[in-house]
Amino acid sequence: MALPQEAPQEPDDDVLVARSRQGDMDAFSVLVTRYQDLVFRVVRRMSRIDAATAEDLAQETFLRAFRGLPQFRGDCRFVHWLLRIAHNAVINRGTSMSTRFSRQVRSLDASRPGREDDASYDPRDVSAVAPSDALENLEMKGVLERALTEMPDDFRSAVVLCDVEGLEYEEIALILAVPVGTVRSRIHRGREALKEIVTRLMNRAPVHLRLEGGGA
Amino acid sequence: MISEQDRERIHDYLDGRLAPAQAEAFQRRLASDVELATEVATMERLVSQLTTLREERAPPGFSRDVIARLKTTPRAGPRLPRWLVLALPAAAAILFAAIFAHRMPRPETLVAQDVSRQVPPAARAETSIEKSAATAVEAPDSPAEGSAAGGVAPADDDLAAGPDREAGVNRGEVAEADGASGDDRAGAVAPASNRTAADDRTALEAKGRATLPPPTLVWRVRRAPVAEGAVRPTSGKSDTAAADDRFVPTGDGEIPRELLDAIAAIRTESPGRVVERELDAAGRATFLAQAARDGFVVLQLEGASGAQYKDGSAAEQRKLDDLADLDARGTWRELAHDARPGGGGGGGIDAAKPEGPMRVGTAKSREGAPGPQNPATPGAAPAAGQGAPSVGGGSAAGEKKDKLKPMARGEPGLAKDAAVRILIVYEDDIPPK
Repeated sequence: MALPQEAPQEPDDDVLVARSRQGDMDAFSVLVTRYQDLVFRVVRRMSRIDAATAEDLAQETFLRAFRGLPQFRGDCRFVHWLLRIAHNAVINRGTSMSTRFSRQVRSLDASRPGREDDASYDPRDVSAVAPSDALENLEMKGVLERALTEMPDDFRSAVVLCDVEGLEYEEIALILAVPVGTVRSRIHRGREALKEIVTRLMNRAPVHLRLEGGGA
Repeated sequence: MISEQDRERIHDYLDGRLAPAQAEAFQRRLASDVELATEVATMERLVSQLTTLREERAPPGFSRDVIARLKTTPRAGPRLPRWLVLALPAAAAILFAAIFAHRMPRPETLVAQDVSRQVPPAARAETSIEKSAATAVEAPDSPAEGSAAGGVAPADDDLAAGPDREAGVNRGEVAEADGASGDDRAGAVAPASNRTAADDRTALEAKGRATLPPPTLVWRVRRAPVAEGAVRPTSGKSDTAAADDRFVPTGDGEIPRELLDAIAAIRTESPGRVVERELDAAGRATFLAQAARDGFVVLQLEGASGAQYKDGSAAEQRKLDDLADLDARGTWRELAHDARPGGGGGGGIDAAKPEGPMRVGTAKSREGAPGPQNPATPGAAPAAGQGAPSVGGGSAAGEKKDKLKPMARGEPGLAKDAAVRILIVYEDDIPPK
């Protein structure tokens, strides 16, 4: 699983949740810091919204989580519970539909591979990689991001959680509140759909970006 | 050619979900099957590219902003005991019922009052939708309150939330989107057993002349793309060619062109008044099961001005009550009340009248309904034959055509202030009884 792990010196989620329940903002702040990137990405990728709206929705997710902590019984991991709230927030926001006809290619300058654990990592800084690689990565990401926005919502949620965030089927089932078999089906079909969309988009892209025949 | 089974296997292989023996066998096949190996490599590359999206970070200051918002938002007070939480709404309902019963006038008067409500500003509708969405989140969204898949949920929560849980918004949003609907329906539609057909007719006629309230909502039941011709309107084979032009393939199926045009017109005239929502799979399944049990709705399109109603018979009323029943179950509120879809079949979109481009109000009985599971019934009046595309009318359409109240001349089909509630359930989705 690729979910964020607590640093050795930091208390684990259960401890932080217990303290947060008592109103300890510092403890909750640690939880926010730990999962902010994950929640932000999931919200954004699931809902096809711009970064600013995603930030707002991600913040809302944490607010709801904090208010809902008294009802969190610890039957599942905190992060799964949190992502479930995020998922519901996305749905309740209705963002999927409202942006259906105004799909936009996401900004291409927001990411760079391979520096996930680097605290000084600045996603807008592409100077540390070869210009051609950076360009190719950015182009490919742009295509993928656009392709994701064109996927049906159910498929996209499953693919994002599985292939972008690296969650297991069982975890995704918890978050989406569907059976594991449904998750599996959505992932399989979602990938096939994604491949088709990417292929279509790639036909307008440079050859080196295309899925078939190697490339990046 | 890669078989479907192999495609499934590719994903299982990539996700490490094949048993060791299966994985080995699959690898052996990859060594000898170039096409399969290419497909695996392509898919592997796609998946690996997706992981690069994981690097996006939350904006700087995110956690600080969250904490700041938390500190400025008052925390909810201590939770009430559960029995009190349950008892309070019940007490309120009893109180409301007592007051309402005391003040309730005759049914037809009630209907007239109901439908003569003035249309609040569009902004009000939007606000109420937003509000209801937010409200819907508070209680059911927390996974600690319920998670069907994870076993986290208490049973009662699952039952209460049911299929809407995944979509979250559906039940709650609808529940408040038109805050007056439930109450109005209680008054507007008295139990069928207490009313006569004449009462029904009076009521429906009164409603037909009135303007319906917002919010304007469009609900669409999601479906997989269908083959051309899989979804067809009321008509039989003779209508097939004409039907092609009347339906627009979308990613989710085929949608009547007129419907899209009407929605587009409303969007243009009153931006923000049309809100689209999709049912999630679970909500859809529940609705379809309900539809199969009651055997009625194939396509329902409700409109405001110009809505046409049928004969107001008891049978029709029963259908209406069925719709209301759906609502009472928290499954489908938007079907419930205002536009009074006709029950026994017929109705549909009638674009033939230039002064009334969209006459609506339809629900159809499954019996005799044409479609993949129930091929076109002789006698079903093809809308095209009338020169008017008609959607959702059933086999009884022809029989009942003469009973439909014609729309008054000059009355707008879908006026600026029209309330539009649309549900499309494709016939081939409804499981057999």
